[in-house]
Amino acid sequence: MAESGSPSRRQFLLGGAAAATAGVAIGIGADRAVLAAQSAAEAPHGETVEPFFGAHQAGIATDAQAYATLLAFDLREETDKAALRRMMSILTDDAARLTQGIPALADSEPELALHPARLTITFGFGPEFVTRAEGSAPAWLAPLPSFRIDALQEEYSHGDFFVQVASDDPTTAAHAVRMIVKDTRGFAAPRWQQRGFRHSHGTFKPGVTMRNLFGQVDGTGNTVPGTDDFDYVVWSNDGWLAGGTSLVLRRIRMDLDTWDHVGRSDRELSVGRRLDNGAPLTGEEEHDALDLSATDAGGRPVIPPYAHARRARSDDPRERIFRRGYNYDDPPEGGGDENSGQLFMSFQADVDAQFVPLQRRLEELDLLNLWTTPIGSSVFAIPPGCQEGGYVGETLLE
Amino acid sequence: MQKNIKNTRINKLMAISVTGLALGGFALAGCSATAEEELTVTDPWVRSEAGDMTAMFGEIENTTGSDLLIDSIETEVADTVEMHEMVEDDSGNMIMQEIEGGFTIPAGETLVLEPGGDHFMFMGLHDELLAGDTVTVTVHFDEGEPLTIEATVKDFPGGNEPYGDEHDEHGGDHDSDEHGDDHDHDDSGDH
Repeated sequence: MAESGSPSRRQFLLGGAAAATAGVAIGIGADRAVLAAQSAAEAPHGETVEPFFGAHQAGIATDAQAYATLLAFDLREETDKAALRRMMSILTDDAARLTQGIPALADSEPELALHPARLTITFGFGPEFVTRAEGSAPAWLAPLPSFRIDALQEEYSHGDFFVQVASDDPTTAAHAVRMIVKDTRGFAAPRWQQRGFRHSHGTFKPGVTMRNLFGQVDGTGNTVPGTDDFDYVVWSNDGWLAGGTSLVLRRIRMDLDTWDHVGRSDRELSVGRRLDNGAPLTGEEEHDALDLSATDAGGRPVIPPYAHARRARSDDPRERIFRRGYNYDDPPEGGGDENSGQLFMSFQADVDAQFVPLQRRLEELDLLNLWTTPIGSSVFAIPPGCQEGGYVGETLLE
Repeated sequence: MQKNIKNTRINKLMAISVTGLALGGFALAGCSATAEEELTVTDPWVRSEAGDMTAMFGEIENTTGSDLLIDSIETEVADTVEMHEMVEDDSGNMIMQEIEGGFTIPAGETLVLEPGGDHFMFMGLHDELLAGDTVTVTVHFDEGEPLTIEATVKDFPGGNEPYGDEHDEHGGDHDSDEHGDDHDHDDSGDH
């Protein structure tokens, strides 16, 4: 394979693509210069921080980080309202420090806190939390209605208290998780932990729609953070939850083995979008509008009746959600050869008004149901953010 | 930007204040102008405890221009507070003992109280100390006004502090009579 003019193996090892493009014969010294130039051009992003204090909690409108660990806890029997205040004060302090690259109070691994890489720590409350806080829960703060496509497992579902730890660095995320777990366990017992990933930092520009493990561009229709529409879709105006939102978390198993049997054309028809760029089958670019009335020469709809993209959309502007999910790829279980899927996460002001109607349509008809199975399901209230001197949850607990 | 952990804590924590938590480090209530202006307390915390004894940690910076000697320490949550240091015993093990005459903080220096090192030892706790609580501690110097510190209670399983009569290896379960039942605090977190 070695052709004249092709870069040497050593150049690939030492200098990578930049050395190859230079197109000159270079020695060790030049290789090193190339390496030095590369590292100067790409500043490390470990010290990039996302603000912690604000009207809304970080980790929702934040451009999704590469790694997320989701944790749910069950409150201990003796954890009452006063204890919840103490717990949220401690955890807010941890999050306020760690997200800014400052070790937590009594952090036994302080060096692991110095490179947050856009770390965010986001807290959520289950129904029991609100009950213990002697607050009034929104009607939607309960397990979702059952859907016939579901095969839910308790070990991936529900919980009294929820934390999302997300960062572009998995070591940083692991340390933050450890700190949160240590400071929560006096008040609550771990219930489940789920880990997910997206494309790594630097693979694409921020804001590029992720791909799921079926290879699909996934989440194209999302409302855009920073717009009035996003605020309308996501943030609640209701009582202690004003400035907060709701999270629906669904662990959706994706059967890669049966998906393997589906041809490329059928894969595109199942969603109604092209695989190469996510464009609707009626368009050219990812963000082109769906033309649901378009028909082919035979008079059949170009985007089939069963296509996911058709089934997921609604004419009612309220029936929309903001998706911010992660892929998962865990060790196979029970003799299988893969265990993959998506931690589907959607934020919306009102679960019943926005998420449930959408999910009902998908339950009734969505070809993707052939290869996907929801195996975990949780709903949490995500309280608003806080200012310096305050703590997350104070609107409920004070 | 290279960050030094200690400097980061001192400089940046000024900007972070959570009710009754980090803010407490700078709330020098009831002090004279001397203590208020010339001592900086950073990240004071006390280990949560259901037993008889616990310890306080944090940093006290002396910017008074003259040496300070801590004469005594009191808190409403314990009978007595001792000043403990870690020293090497005859076998080369680090052990904890009460310091003779109390801690001196030389002018311009910082007394660092940390697990496994110097600390304020609370003896005879009146009640269980729960994570997230705030404990008021008053530090009396040999001269001048006392310093009042608001310390946050945190769960903390580490920092075993063996006494002279223990011969087990570090990291073990220091289940000695000296410690009473304070070894229970870290196991379940179940208060």
